[in-house]
Amino acid sequence: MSNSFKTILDTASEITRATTLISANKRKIEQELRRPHNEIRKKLAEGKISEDKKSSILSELKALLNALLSSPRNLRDHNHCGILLTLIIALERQSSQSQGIMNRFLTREIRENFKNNPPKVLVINPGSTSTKVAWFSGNKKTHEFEIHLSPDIKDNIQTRTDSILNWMQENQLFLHQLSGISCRGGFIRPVPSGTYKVNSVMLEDLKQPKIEHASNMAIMIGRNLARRSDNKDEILLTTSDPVICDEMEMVERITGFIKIKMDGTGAHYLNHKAVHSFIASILEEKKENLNGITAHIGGGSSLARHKKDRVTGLINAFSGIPSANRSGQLDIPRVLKGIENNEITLKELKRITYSEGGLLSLAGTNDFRALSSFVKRGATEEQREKINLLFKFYARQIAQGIFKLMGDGEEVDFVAVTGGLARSSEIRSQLYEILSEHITLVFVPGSLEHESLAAGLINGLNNPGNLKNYLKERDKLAEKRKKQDSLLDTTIFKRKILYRKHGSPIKSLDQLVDSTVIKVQENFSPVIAIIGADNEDAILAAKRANQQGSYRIAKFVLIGDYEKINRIAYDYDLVIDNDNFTIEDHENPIDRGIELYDQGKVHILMKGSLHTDEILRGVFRYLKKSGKLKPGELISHSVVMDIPTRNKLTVISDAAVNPYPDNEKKIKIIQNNLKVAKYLNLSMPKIAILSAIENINKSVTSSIDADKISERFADRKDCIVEGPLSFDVAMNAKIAQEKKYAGKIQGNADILIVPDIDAGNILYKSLTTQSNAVCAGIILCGDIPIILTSRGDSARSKLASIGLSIISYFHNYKGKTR
Amino acid sequence: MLPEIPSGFDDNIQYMKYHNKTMSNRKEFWQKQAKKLVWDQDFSEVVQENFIKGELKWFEKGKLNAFLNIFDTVKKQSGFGQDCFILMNNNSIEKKFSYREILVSTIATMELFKTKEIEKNDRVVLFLPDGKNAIISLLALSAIGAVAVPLSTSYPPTFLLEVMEDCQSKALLIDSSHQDSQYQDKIKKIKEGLNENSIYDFNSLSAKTINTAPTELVDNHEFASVDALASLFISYHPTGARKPRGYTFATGGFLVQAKYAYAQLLHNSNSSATTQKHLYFDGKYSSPTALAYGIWGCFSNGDCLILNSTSIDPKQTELAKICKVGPHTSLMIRPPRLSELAIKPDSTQDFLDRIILHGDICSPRLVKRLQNLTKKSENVVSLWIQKQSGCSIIHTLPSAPLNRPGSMGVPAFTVEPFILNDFGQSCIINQSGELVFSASWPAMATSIYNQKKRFYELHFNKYQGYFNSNDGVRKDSDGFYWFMKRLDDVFKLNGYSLSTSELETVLSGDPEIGETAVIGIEGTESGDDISLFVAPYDKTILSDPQQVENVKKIIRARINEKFGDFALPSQIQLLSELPRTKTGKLVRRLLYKIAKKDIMPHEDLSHVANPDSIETILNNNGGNSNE
Repeated sequence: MSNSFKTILDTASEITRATTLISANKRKIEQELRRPHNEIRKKLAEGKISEDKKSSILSELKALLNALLSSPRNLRDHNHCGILLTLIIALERQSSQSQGIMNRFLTREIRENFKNNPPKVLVINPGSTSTKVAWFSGNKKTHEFEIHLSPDIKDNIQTRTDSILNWMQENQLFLHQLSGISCRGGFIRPVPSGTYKVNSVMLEDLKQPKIEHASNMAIMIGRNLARRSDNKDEILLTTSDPVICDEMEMVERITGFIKIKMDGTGAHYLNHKAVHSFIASILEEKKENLNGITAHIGGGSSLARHKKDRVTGLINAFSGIPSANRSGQLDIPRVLKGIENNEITLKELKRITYSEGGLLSLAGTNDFRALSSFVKRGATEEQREKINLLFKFYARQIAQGIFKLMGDGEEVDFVAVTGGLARSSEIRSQLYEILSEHITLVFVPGSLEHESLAAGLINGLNNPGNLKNYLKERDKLAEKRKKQDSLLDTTIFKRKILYRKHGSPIKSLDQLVDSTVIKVQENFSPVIAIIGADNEDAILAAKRANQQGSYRIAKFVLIGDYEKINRIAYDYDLVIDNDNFTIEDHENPIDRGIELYDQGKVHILMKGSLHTDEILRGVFRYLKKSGKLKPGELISHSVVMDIPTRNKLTVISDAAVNPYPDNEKKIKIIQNNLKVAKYLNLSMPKIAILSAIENINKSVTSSIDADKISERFADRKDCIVEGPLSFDVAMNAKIAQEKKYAGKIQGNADILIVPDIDAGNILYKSLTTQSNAVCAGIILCGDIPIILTSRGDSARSKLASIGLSIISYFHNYKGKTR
Repeated sequence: MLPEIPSGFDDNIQYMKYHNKTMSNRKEFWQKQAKKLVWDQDFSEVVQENFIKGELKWFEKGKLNAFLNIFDTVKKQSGFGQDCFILMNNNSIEKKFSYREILVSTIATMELFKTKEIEKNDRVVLFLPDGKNAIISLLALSAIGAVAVPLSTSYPPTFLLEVMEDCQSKALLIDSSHQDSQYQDKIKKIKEGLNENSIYDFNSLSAKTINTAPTELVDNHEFASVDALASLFISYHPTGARKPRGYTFATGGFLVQAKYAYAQLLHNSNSSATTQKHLYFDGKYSSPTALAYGIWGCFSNGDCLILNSTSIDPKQTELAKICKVGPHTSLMIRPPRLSELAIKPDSTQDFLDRIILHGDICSPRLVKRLQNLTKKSENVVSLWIQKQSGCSIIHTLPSAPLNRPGSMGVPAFTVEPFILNDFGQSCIINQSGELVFSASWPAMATSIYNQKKRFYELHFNKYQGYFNSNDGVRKDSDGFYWFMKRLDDVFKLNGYSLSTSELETVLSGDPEIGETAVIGIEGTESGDDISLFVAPYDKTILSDPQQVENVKKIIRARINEKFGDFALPSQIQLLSELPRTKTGKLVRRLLYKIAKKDIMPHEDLSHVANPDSIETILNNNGGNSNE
């Protein structure tokens, strides 16, 4: 055994021993803590803890918590930290008139400043059917009420304003007493979190809110109330942490679809921020230094990740986890299927997303308490089982949301579950079970929204400089997002580079280029000799093929007139580095190209400024002389067409090299095209020998020829060769059906063998000029692929032609020396 | 302290290392070279220059006499009996002149010129056929301290008259005894347009025959002490612009570099030549290159110059005759003249000492072929010289590691070339861009006569602080430069030569116009033609047809004013910006196609960085931008 292995083994044993010790200690703490814990909880529930007692319990609990927190985060006893913190929070919140909370939000200095003349603050928090209001006098919440509108009264800003005035009157509260009104912020425009002074721009933006929501009314109501006051100019109107806050970091904005970008809006920012601040204060940490996750679960549920006092990650209340009456994120393919099958309508989808989904859809209620009580009073066994499942489902959704937000890899100091549903014992116990061992799990039932709104305003009263300028922050954020959008919209590949499985049929010229890239990556960049490289089209094609994406599919030797090639190379920015591009100064480019091919220095030939027939003659001479052209082999041309209306490629042959081939030549042309079929990974190519008609007619010679040729291939198992076929039968399934064509090719031909050069040329040029088809051409000449490009070819077509020849080269390459 | 120039370099890295040293010791390097000349008064400063303003001064306050420097070399080295100049006719030796003959004739001619009141700093136009008279005139003018303005006899008389007016020439030298009928016709026309008193015809001039020994002669005659900054000669070439352009070359800098560059090329060293060599210069004596290497470089090293009074076809058989003139004969020639050259020489004795190619870059194929005609393959060398550069500043050298067929070669000592793209950024290895220089060399032109601003606009304005060459080049990883293309096309318009860069410089500098691309279209019905593409500085005018017309009017007016109506373009198109590649190169080929209305429906624009710039034009021409 090596020394190092022994060291590892010893260390591992040490870790085991230490872990056992930690577990034993945790158990010990649990035993010791269980009794006092239960006692405090019980008394808390009964409200039997006096202020004096509370203070001594709190200091004991905090000392205990601090002791536990002093261990490193990964070894921490999260379970008991969470229990203690939850207890501390509950105790602090129990203080009368929310003073415990307010004192956490207001500094001692502020409290001293307002000690003799505590400012009166009205908090307005409209919900869908009611308006929550609270009256603060300095750090004391003296009144709090939820005003329900009578069903007979029309629900609008005016009626809600009046209802608040009535409530105030009933409670002997008066507008002139007010120093400020703090309104819950609605869907204005995205801004960072903080307290904002209400201004006309904000009011203008509220006229066209992003989402219609009750919270949008708060600022209007506040302004109406302030106007009615005698000292309206002295009333400060603010809003804090509106739902439309946005602090999300850029990486979180990306979704799987470029047109949809996330932002940080649509969450219970007010409560998220308040809870985070509250816990930071209890832990005596600056909130900037504390990483926490807060989960607000209730009618709508949202989760927020806090880092450096910014909500950098978010699961919003609309597209995140299911809530009481919102569905949360759904499986889109199933939704699409449902829409296609008319099982779901768009209207219904909208309803379940915003108001009738979630628990309401699953259980028929949006009240979790109703579920709990139904279990106790007469639910059937099955119903009980489902209810239990639903609690489990919701708890898991919340836990999964929490884990999702932990995906940034940063350590988390605590997870706080807040909102109305945090009161549910079922949800709490489920979450406790899932999370408490892993993270410090804290429960802060209900919300701290009113305290937070009031504190924000009082902070502003104390120092108006702390109030943020809505217009400035709004525009700054908009500019930032615009820049981000521009980056996120940056094009990486102009066309799609798709991953394809080996051997799958190549269906488009783009796929052909992609396959070339893979072939080249697997092997090497072949060297292509451009014969007569003083040709702009060839040079442009070469340039494109050498810079495709971040890799190149070929290197080029430019053979021909030195001066002319240099001139073109300069104009088109070719980098003549004797690797990617090399100039071969030669007066006879064909001979030189063939010589280099023979020496293995180039692998493919490409037509430049020289005539095709000159090149073909030279190559033919060489092949014959060297014995590389097998007896019976023919040089032929194939053009591979990508026709927009077809979902696969179509090969046309021979439209360039053999003008009027006889039947024997056509058979050889078919054999050559079977090679092309292999390049395109067609395992059973369908070859249609074209004629004007699909029947044999003595007056149409091509139909008789096609019949004879197809007979020669009748026994072949690796391809389907049929003829005569008219073009429409070969290419259009519907017409083939209508004409009752009996063959196997039913409008789905892969290869079209044309009767002669006239038909072929007219066919492929009409497709390129009239139907936006793009083509790639290749000359099959023994084992030497020859590339032809012409001025009429688009850049894409030229690239595809090079790609096709490279694929062809690597098909023949196996076993050859490089 | 700069070490002595090594006698040879084992490889290009060694050369580059020494080259780097010369760059950091530029003044010391040229001071050493300057000290090889005889100065009447020492210079105070080797070089002072400001390329932001396009100004340069070499050897300020120095005084010297060019003629006496030749005399001094011959006296010390080869002796007066050596061949100085050989005139050939149809590749046979017509006449040989010894240094004694040439120097004595020069002094006699100098005295004659003095009687004609030609004085120091006077400009004198030489319209003389290649021959003894041309040579001694140049030397005699330099002895007086007058400024030679040599013009090729192939230029039209109208141009000569323009030059005489431009340089305020004191006199014109001709030779009516020359038999060439075309030359005679030109002389006739010139005489019609000039005052007879300012024309000195060698046919009627009779210099006194002197039989005194050269040394004594020199002692008995007075020679001017010429400022190093004063012009030795002015070089004019027809440009098509209304005002001719004469590049001035300063006496001190030109002589210092000519002597050094010639020695480095022909004698492999900077030391004094021990064996006399013969240089056959295939071309006119009047070009700056001929003056640098053929006249001043050759004579100040005591070598012999061969000129041919008739134009020869440099076929192999003819070259064999040249080889026989002297035991160490080199040929200096422009590559296009050699394109028909046969491959194998007849016998080994006919091998040339050196073949020096200049003016155009020779293809690797031709260089390899020429290597069969020299004793060693590396003795075929290429010089990169421009009209304004005086001497070669990038070259291959007669040394195997510094000689790559087809390349421009390596930079001359102290010269640091840069390659910039059209955005003024340095190009990476093997990326092509324009060749520029951030510092001067002694022989470079110092100005355009009486047009300092034009000198600046043409050569220093494009990239601030750099002298631009208008040559597109690349540099490989071994430090060799490779020529790719000339960046200003010259085309013929109604009989006038006009370069695109000249026209573009004039128009693009005009704030009322904008960035301009001139596209020459050859072979239209009325000869060559030009098309203009303009991206106005103020893009807002593009939407107002009236303003577009106004700009076109301004353009036409400017062209007419600066060049003449022959240069008016057949079409002017205004664009939001000119189409460029990613490195900023103007996509001239595409503009050419647009001008010729030769755009395809799926024109490949994959190389254009800003295809939007021409979208409207393409659509109007029936093409469209694809992908």
